[in-house]
Amino acid sequence: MIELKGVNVTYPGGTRALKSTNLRFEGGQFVVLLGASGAGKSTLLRCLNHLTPPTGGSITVDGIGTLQGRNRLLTHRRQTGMIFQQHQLIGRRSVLQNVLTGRLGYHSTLRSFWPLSDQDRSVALACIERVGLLEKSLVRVDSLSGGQQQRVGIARAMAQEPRLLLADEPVASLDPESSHRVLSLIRDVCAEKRIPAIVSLHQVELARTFADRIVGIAGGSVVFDDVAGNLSSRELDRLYRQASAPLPEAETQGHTRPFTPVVPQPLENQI
Amino acid sequence: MMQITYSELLRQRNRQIRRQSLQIGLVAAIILVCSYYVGLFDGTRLADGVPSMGSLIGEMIPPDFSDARDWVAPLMDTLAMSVAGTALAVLFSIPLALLAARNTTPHPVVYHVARAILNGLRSVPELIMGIIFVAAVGFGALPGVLALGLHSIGMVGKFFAESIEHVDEAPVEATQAAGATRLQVIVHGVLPQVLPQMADVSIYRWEYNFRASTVMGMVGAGGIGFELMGSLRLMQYQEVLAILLVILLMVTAVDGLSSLLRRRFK
Repeated sequence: MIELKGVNVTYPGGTRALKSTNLRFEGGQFVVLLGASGAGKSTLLRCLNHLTPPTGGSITVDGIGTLQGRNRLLTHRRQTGMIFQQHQLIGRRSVLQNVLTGRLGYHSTLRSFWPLSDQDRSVALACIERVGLLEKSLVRVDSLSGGQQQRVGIARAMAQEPRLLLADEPVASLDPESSHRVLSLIRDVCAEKRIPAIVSLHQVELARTFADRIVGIAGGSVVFDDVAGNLSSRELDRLYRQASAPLPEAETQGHTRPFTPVVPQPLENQI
Repeated sequence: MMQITYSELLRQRNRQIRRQSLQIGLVAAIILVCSYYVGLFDGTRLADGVPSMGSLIGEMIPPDFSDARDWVAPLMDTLAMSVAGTALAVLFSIPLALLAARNTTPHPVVYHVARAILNGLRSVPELIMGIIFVAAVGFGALPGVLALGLHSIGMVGKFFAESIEHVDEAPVEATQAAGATRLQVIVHGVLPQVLPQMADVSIYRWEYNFRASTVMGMVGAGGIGFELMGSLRLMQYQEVLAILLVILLMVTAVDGLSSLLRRRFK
């Protein structure tokens, strides 16, 4: 379906966000990219539709080939729905208008100056109905709750009638209950359409609940890649070791600080 | 980490206060020098002016509305000029602003050229443009519209460009991710976000253009300003006051309408 060969990303500042990576994603799987913040999950995910262009390596997509040239990239992006952490909707536009941006890729620039056809609108409305927000279709997005906004984001991605769904930390800013609902929704719609979903998460429990396959990432490299059931606590330890090392110090801040020089006044907490 | 003491904090705060007082003092000095330079402190000259002001105002009272019927057409001219001029400005400002905004410009060179055009249009006063257009197309409302429109592009385009630059990048990225072309991203990701600011600037500019178009008549570019100049030249000060009152009434009406419109566009 989509294959990465030697893909790596170095940011302009010189940070190596992703070291040379080989991966292959097949149809119908729910894949979770698991790792601590800053491990390189988002970079890897954003490489898959060139929102972050890889510095080196190649990405090959079935039916398109490598993602070279503008037309191939636009076709690939049209076929690839993406769900973002902060929804990335336009707050003052209606749910329907936001979902319709998912249909833009199917039309020429000139055609999209005029309102889209009833056929496109029906596709969009069907997606809105699927995420359970049909009665909110003409309501401004900024009047919805966070969980509802994320469902609009899912509807927008589905309106592209994608062959692949990417989701970058889709539940990072949601409460546990909404997180479950949103992830179930992503899993179910992908199962219905038999398309693969690649979802980055940092919560181990959610990954275990939803993933068919888990790709663990630490320090810009893939350190684990197997079915979800095989993720042992030892693997987990390895996955989060680098990130958790500095944590204890940060967490105990303000309680006991054995290394601060002893000063008579308790000024520290007042400043 | 070194512990910081009360006295050290207070010392730093005192230093801040001293620096701020110095800055305030400097600004005050600049204001005083400028005021002296333009003669604001010339008490005798100002005092001499009071009686002649008084007699002028005396000559204006009571306002003379006997020719009011003749002002209706010029007032309509003025209103039409302000609307058409603003529309002209907005029409040309949108493409120019897209070229002059760092995030939508196709090339840095284009960006600088577009910025230079906007600055150029802004720096030629509309009255000068009015004189030029009167020379080009003759007297009437047309040169007024062209002058107002062209001058307005400079400011409207600059404000449009600035609001485009401050757009939220997140939905723009989402539109890109859906496979939209550059122009589709602009039309469906950028413009919907800046629509309220654009409406705001346009309506404010319309209000400004209405006021400005009352002056355009002075150079023969149509509207109520033409009548005002006529009365001033004939020293019919009672009529001048009457016209000024009518303009005040219209400006107040336009102002009210514009704030009503702007509230609707939030």
